[in-house]
Amino acid sequence: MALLLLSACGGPDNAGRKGFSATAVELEHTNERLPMNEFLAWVANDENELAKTKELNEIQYKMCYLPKQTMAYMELKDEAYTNEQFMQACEHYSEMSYFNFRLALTEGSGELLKYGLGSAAEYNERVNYMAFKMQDDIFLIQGKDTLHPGLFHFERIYEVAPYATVMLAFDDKKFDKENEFTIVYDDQLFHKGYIKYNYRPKQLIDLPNLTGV
Amino acid sequence: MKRKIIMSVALICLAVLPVLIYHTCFQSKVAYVDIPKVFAGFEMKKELQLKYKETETARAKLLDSLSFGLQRLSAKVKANKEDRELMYEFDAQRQDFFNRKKRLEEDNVALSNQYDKQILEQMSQYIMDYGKKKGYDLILGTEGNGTLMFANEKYNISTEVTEFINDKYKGIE
Repeated sequence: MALLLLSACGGPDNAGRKGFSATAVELEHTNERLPMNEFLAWVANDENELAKTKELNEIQYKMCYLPKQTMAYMELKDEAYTNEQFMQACEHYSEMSYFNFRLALTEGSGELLKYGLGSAAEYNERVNYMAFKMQDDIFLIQGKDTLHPGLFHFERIYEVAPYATVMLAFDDKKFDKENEFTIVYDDQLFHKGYIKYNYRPKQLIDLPNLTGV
Repeated sequence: MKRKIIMSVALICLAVLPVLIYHTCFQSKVAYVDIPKVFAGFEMKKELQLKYKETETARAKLLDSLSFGLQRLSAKVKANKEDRELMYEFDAQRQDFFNRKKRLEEDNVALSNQYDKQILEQMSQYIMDYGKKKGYDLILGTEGNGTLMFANEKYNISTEVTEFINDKYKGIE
């Protein structure tokens, strides 16, 4: 299955699509039960702390955890699908923890990669950095262990956009998803230093149930 | 009876109004932070200081090893004063050593400045976030250099701010 990139942080842009089933599907274990569109909104809502935002001098850094349900939905949303297909897609995304990392200009206009640009050559360096080198500067820290992403993809946009997005995934076998960890970005793009996002124990596990897929 | 009630309410309003105006206009929420104290307690500063030390030490070791090689060559030159080729080699290595030393020292200064800038940028941002979150109108920074001549200690929020900016930095807040 192709790795899908989300232009936003898993927003419920197409949750009202055809083929929506009312069957209750227990995918995780909390008491809350939400339909798909609300589940996607819940995940993307900063208040629920799966999406975490930092702002540093005109640059916004947003890290968003994408549960397997969100990943499966993003893959299947453009077609009618069955519960079984949805469960299969969830299974496919169940071995890694996926995150969407977005850098954006807080002003919301202009082109992010041209922000504070010193020269034209620097622009190409930034594009290359995001595509090939940035993955070395992102890592997950748990206790004394450091883990680099097993998957990394820069979503290239061929137009003026005040943001840039990368998707990354960490191998679940290599860290304890139920325990506290921190994702660190050592910012070599705008040189703001370490940008950290802390996830509490069980934060990635305690998600609402889906009432339908 | 009704008139009495209206009068009472009006009197209460008249009494409360100046207090409200005073609080709105003159009771700004102001505090100060001891910048060196907050800076010293900032986790990012401690981490980058450590990172800088590691880089500086690695560079110093590199220079030490180059210096050692140069000293050995110098001893050879002294023992073979007639060997012009050895002399040229020594001159070239010495020049290379001083060039590298200068470049590494400049790199150290640049790295130190870069880290300081990053620390101050994040520290300032997080103090601003703290001010907004806690509803401050003004947070002053004091460095003991006369920018703030006196303030009652009750306005000193350095400890709370240090705790907050560290949580922010660690991505907890």
